[in-house]
Amino acid sequence: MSMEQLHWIAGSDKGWAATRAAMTIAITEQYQGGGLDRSEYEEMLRDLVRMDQLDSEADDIELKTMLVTAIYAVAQVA
Amino acid sequence: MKKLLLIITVLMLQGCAVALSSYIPSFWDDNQSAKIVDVRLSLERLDCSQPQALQLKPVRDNIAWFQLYSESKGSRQTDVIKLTQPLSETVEEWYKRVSAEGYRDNKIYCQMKQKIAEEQAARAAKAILGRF
Repeated sequence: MSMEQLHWIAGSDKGWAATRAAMTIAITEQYQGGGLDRSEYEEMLRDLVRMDQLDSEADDIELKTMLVTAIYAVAQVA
Repeated sequence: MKKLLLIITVLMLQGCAVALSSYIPSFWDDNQSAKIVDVRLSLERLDCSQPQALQLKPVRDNIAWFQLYSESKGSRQTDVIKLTQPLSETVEEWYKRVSAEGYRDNKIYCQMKQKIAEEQAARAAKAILGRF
Protein backbone atom coordinates (compact mmCIF):
# COMPACT_ATOMS: atom_id res chain seq x y z
CA MET A 1 0.00 0.00 0.00
CA SER A 2 1.39 3.40 -0.96
CA MET A 3 1.60 6.48 1.24
CA GLU A 4 -1.03 8.13 -1.00
CA GLN A 5 -3.51 5.36 -0.15
CA LEU A 6 -2.69 5.68 3.54
CA HIS A 7 -3.27 9.44 3.40
CA TRP A 8 -6.59 8.84 1.64
CA ILE A 9 -7.73 6.38 4.34
CA ALA A 10 -6.48 8.66 7.13
CA GLY A 11 -8.56 11.50 5.71
CA SER A 12 -11.69 9.37 5.31
CA ASP A 13 -14.51 8.84 7.80
CA LYS A 14 -13.66 5.14 8.19
CA GLY A 15 -13.28 5.24 11.98
CA TRP A 16 -10.67 2.78 13.23
CA ALA A 17 -9.11 2.39 9.77
CA ALA A 18 -8.54 6.15 9.52
CA THR A 19 -6.95 6.20 12.98
CA ARG A 20 -4.73 3.22 12.12
CA ALA A 21 -3.66 4.77 8.80
CA ALA A 22 -2.82 8.06 10.54
CA MET A 23 -0.67 6.15 13.05
CA THR A 24 1.14 4.30 10.27
CA ILE A 25 1.86 7.58 8.47
CA ALA A 26 3.15 9.24 11.66
CA ILE A 27 5.44 6.27 12.44
CA THR A 28 6.75 6.09 8.85
CA GLU A 29 7.42 9.84 8.75
CA GLN A 30 9.35 9.64 12.01
CA TYR A 31 11.41 6.75 10.64
CA GLN A 32 12.12 8.59 7.39
CA GLY A 33 13.04 11.73 9.32
CA GLY A 34 15.49 9.84 11.57
CA GLY A 35 13.38 9.99 14.74
CA LEU A 36 13.16 6.20 14.89
CA ASP A 37 15.73 3.59 13.96
CA ARG A 38 14.96 0.56 11.79
CA SER A 39 14.27 -1.86 14.65
CA GLU A 40 12.02 0.63 16.47
CA TYR A 41 10.10 1.19 13.24
CA GLU A 42 9.68 -2.55 12.61
CA GLU A 43 8.56 -3.10 16.21
CA MET A 44 5.80 -0.55 15.79
CA LEU A 45 4.62 -2.06 12.54
CA ARG A 46 4.32 -5.37 14.42
CA ASP A 47 2.27 -3.54 17.06
CA LEU A 48 -0.09 -2.29 14.37
CA VAL A 49 -0.54 -5.83 13.03
CA ARG A 50 -1.35 -6.96 16.58
CA MET A 51 -4.06 -4.31 16.74
CA ASP A 52 -5.89 -6.19 14.00
CA GLN A 53 -5.90 -9.31 16.18
CA LEU A 54 -7.16 -7.24 19.09
CA ASP A 55 -9.97 -5.74 16.96
CA SER A 56 -11.01 -9.20 15.87
CA GLU A 57 -11.13 -10.51 19.47
CA ALA A 58 -12.96 -7.40 20.70
CA ASP A 59 -15.54 -7.61 17.88
CA ASP A 60 -16.08 -11.28 18.74
CA ILE A 61 -16.76 -10.54 22.44
CA GLU A 62 -19.05 -7.63 21.58
CA LEU A 63 -21.06 -9.70 19.11
CA LYS A 64 -21.45 -12.59 21.55
CA THR A 65 -22.47 -10.14 24.29
CA MET A 66 -25.14 -8.69 21.99
CA LEU A 67 -26.37 -12.21 21.30
CA VAL A 68 -26.58 -13.13 25.00
CA THR A 69 -28.30 -9.82 25.81
CA ALA A 70 -30.85 -10.38 23.03
CA ILE A 71 -31.55 -13.95 24.16
CA TYR A 72 -31.97 -12.75 27.75
CA ALA A 73 -34.37 -10.01 26.61
CA VAL A 74 -36.43 -12.50 24.60
CA ALA A 75 -36.51 -14.89 27.57
CA GLN A 76 -37.80 -12.07 29.83
CA VAL A 77 -40.64 -11.30 27.42
CA ALA A 78 -41.58 -14.96 26.82
CA MET B 1 -29.57 -51.36 23.42
CA LYS B 2 -30.94 -48.97 26.02
CA LYS B 3 -27.44 -48.49 27.42
CA LEU B 4 -26.12 -47.69 23.96
CA LEU B 5 -28.86 -45.12 23.39
CA LEU B 6 -28.09 -43.55 26.74
CA ILE B 7 -24.38 -43.29 25.93
CA ILE B 8 -25.11 -41.78 22.50
CA THR B 9 -27.52 -39.25 24.06
CA VAL B 10 -24.95 -38.23 26.68
CA LEU B 11 -22.26 -37.85 24.01
CA MET B 12 -24.56 -35.75 21.83
CA LEU B 13 -25.49 -33.50 24.74
CA GLN B 14 -21.82 -33.02 25.56
CA GLY B 15 -21.15 -32.12 21.94
CA CYS B 16 -23.95 -29.55 22.01
CA ALA B 17 -22.59 -28.08 25.24
CA VAL B 18 -19.12 -27.69 23.75
CA ALA B 19 -20.51 -26.12 20.57
CA LEU B 20 -22.77 -23.81 22.57
CA SER B 21 -20.01 -22.74 24.95
CA SER B 22 -18.01 -21.31 22.05
CA TYR B 23 -20.86 -18.82 21.51
CA ILE B 24 -21.03 -17.69 25.12
CA PRO B 25 -18.62 -14.90 26.11
CA SER B 26 -17.14 -14.37 29.55
CA PHE B 27 -19.40 -12.23 31.71
CA TRP B 28 -18.98 -8.97 33.63
CA ASP B 29 -16.34 -8.99 36.34
CA ASP B 30 -15.69 -6.01 38.68
CA ASN B 31 -12.01 -6.87 39.18
CA GLN B 32 -11.24 -7.26 35.48
CA SER B 33 -13.06 -4.02 34.70
CA ALA B 34 -11.16 -2.07 37.36
CA LYS B 35 -7.80 -3.53 36.34
CA ILE B 36 -8.12 -2.74 32.63
CA VAL B 37 -8.94 0.87 33.57
CA ASP B 38 -5.82 0.85 35.80
CA VAL B 39 -3.84 -0.21 32.70
CA ARG B 40 -5.29 2.70 30.74
CA LEU B 41 -4.54 5.13 33.57
CA SER B 42 -0.94 3.98 34.00
CA LEU B 43 -0.40 4.38 30.25
CA GLU B 44 -1.97 7.84 30.17
CA ARG B 45 0.17 8.97 33.13
CA LEU B 46 3.39 7.86 31.44
CA ASP B 47 5.70 10.85 30.94
CA CYS B 48 8.04 10.44 27.95
CA SER B 49 10.39 13.15 29.22
CA GLN B 50 11.28 10.83 32.12
CA PRO B 51 13.09 7.43 32.01
CA GLN B 52 10.68 4.87 30.59
CA ALA B 53 11.61 1.52 32.16
CA LEU B 54 10.56 2.42 35.70
CA GLN B 55 7.29 3.93 34.51
CA LEU B 56 6.44 0.80 32.57
CA LYS B 57 6.48 -1.32 35.71
CA PRO B 58 2.88 -0.53 36.82
CA VAL B 59 1.65 -1.06 33.25
CA ARG B 60 3.28 -4.50 33.05
CA ASP B 61 2.13 -5.41 36.57
CA ASN B 62 -1.47 -4.45 35.84
CA ILE B 63 -1.56 -6.46 32.60
CA ALA B 64 0.08 -9.47 34.31
CA TRP B 65 -2.41 -9.21 37.19
CA PHE B 66 -5.31 -9.13 34.74
CA GLN B 67 -4.08 -12.17 32.85
CA LEU B 68 -3.24 -14.23 35.95
CA TYR B 69 -6.56 -13.39 37.57
CA SER B 70 -8.45 -14.34 34.40
CA GLU B 71 -6.47 -17.54 33.98
CA SER B 72 -7.15 -18.49 37.61
CA LYS B 73 -10.85 -17.81 37.15
CA GLY B 74 -11.21 -20.58 34.59
CA SER B 75 -11.53 -21.58 30.98
CA ARG B 76 -14.49 -19.27 30.31
CA GLN B 77 -12.04 -16.34 30.47
CA THR B 78 -10.03 -17.39 27.40
CA ASP B 79 -11.61 -14.59 25.35
CA VAL B 80 -10.37 -11.76 27.61
CA ILE B 81 -6.91 -13.35 27.90
CA LYS B 82 -6.67 -13.44 24.09
CA LEU B 83 -7.98 -9.87 23.99
CA THR B 84 -5.22 -8.50 26.22
CA GLN B 85 -2.41 -10.54 24.62
CA PRO B 86 -1.57 -8.00 21.85
CA LEU B 87 -1.29 -5.22 24.45
CA SER B 88 0.87 -7.43 26.64
CA GLU B 89 3.25 -8.14 23.71
CA THR B 90 3.43 -4.46 22.78
CA VAL B 91 4.34 -3.46 26.34
CA GLU B 92 6.78 -6.36 26.85
CA GLU B 93 8.73 -5.46 23.69
CA TRP B 94 8.77 -1.83 24.82
CA TYR B 95 10.04 -2.74 28.29
CA LYS B 96 12.65 -5.16 26.93
CA ARG B 97 14.09 -2.45 24.66
CA VAL B 98 14.19 0.39 27.19
CA SER B 99 15.53 -1.77 30.04
CA ALA B 100 18.45 -3.10 27.95
CA GLU B 101 21.87 -2.07 29.19
CA GLY B 102 23.10 1.09 27.51
CA TYR B 103 19.71 2.09 26.11
CA ARG B 104 19.30 5.83 25.72
CA ASP B 105 15.72 7.08 26.05
CA ASN B 106 14.19 8.12 22.73
CA LYS B 107 11.28 10.46 23.37
CA ILE B 108 9.77 9.96 19.91
CA TYR B 109 9.84 6.17 20.29
CA CYS B 110 8.20 6.54 23.71
CA GLN B 111 5.45 8.84 22.42
CA MET B 112 4.63 6.53 19.51
CA LYS B 113 4.57 3.40 21.68
CA GLN B 114 2.43 5.18 24.25
CA LYS B 115 -0.08 6.13 21.56
CA ILE B 116 -0.26 2.56 20.22
CA ALA B 117 -0.58 1.01 23.70
CA GLU B 118 -3.25 3.55 24.71
CA GLU B 119 -5.23 2.67 21.59
CA GLN B 120 -4.94 -1.05 22.31
CA ALA B 121 -5.90 -0.62 25.97
CA ALA B 122 -8.89 1.56 25.07
CA ARG B 123 -10.19 -1.03 22.59
CA ALA B 124 -9.72 -3.88 25.09
CA ALA B 125 -11.41 -1.87 27.87
CA LYS B 126 -14.42 -1.11 25.67
CA ALA B 127 -14.99 -4.82 25.03
CA ILE B 128 -14.35 -5.83 28.67
CA LEU B 129 -16.60 -3.17 30.20
CA GLY B 130 -19.29 -3.76 27.60
CA ARG B 131 -19.92 -7.35 28.66
CA PHE B 132 -23.28 -8.51 30.04
